[in-house]
Amino acid sequence: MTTTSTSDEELMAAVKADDLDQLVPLFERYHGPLFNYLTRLTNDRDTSEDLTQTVFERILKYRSSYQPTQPFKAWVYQMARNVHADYWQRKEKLRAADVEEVEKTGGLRGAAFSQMRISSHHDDLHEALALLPTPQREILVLNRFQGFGYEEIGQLLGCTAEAARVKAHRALQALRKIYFAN
Amino acid sequence: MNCERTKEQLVDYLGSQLSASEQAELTAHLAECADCREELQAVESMWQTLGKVRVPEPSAHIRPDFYAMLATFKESVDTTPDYTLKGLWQWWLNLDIPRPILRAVYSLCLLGVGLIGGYWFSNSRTTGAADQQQIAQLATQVGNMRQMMMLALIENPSASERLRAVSYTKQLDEPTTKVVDALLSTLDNDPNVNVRLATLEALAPLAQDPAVRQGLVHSLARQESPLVQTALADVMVQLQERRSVKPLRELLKQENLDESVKSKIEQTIQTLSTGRPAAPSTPPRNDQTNLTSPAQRAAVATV
Repeated sequence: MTTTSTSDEELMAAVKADDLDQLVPLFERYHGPLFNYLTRLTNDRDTSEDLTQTVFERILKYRSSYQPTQPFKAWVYQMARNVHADYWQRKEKLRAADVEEVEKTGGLRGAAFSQMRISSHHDDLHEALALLPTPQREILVLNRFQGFGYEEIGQLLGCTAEAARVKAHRALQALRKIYFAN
Repeated sequence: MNCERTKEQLVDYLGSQLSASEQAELTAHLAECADCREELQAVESMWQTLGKVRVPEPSAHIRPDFYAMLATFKESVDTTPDYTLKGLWQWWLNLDIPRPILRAVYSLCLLGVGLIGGYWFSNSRTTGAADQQQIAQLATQVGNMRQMMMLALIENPSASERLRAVSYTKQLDEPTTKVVDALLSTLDNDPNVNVRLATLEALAPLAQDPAVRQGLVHSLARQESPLVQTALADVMVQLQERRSVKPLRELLKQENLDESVKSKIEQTIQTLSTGRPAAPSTPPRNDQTNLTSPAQRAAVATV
């Protein structure tokens, strides 16, 4: 990538000063990891693409709230978490409105399970990951895939670095259990 | 170091996120604890597998979507001006207007304020038109009251009250026929000379009304006071009322007629029958009636 010379924070400061084109290099750097992160959270590619788009839209909308002293990465992941939380709430509301729909998806999930056994080894793990509770999945994703340290995860999740470390450990244990149970 | 703590640190060991001393401690423990070595292997394989999980790639259209979104957002930023006070002030400061134009605009604004103010002020005055209508209504009511008072007072036994009643009619803008009738009957019948004179004075300006004229002419025959007779004759001249000639002649036939009145009436008859320059075309008895001084007139009358 040609734009690596400028730091994320400098670019975002420019965006904040209404130089909106500076968002392009930030998009190039972050849309992949963000999409990845959101896909792990939602288990839905289309939704994740929409949510990734929403994250960048919010960056533009709330650019004035960015403090140049804070790391851009932490800020943007916080935003992604919020976007996902909003999406989750909307979905919950829809679900509550239609109980039958929930039962149907439950049935579909059973079918998905049987399908899973035939699929490849990596997809197995992928499915196991999908079966983890969202908070545990999130922490694993942040730790293993997004390269977050415990300090950063703690900040993002609103806990200490030590607590984040313990959570990550438990999440990995839980994943192991699911994975080897099959 | 116990096994529990070691197990917790294994992930960090794999992710090489441990400090040097922690790492040393951990390797030392692993060397002597087979259980933990096994655990490490399991975690490691898990960790590696996790690392190999297919990374989902966004589809090709995420990029064009992003650029479209960015373009739309830029457009909306450009087209939605900043309406906060600060934004407006910034906009105002950024405007590059030459000073004379600014001054002209300023004075135009002042002029506009003046015009609007004036318009508003005059408008608020015309809204007083309603008030004026009310005042007019009140005035007509007062007029009606006066009329009623006048009609009541004119029957009063006291001459001074009747005089007041007559004077009220002068204040009426347009006396009704009732008032006129009352005045005419007062002129004919009132026992007091002063009242009758005042009534005549009040009626004279109303003489454009044919009924009033008629009444005045008829009244000539009924008057006995020389003062009133003279005054009536004067009014007849003023009005150029030719119909009064006949009753005036009748008046001349009265035996107890005052001398000065007689001459006055003769003069009036002459004036009326000939027009202003009193040429004696139909003199009743003498040709000298156009003499002006009262002494001469008196002299002529005695002849």
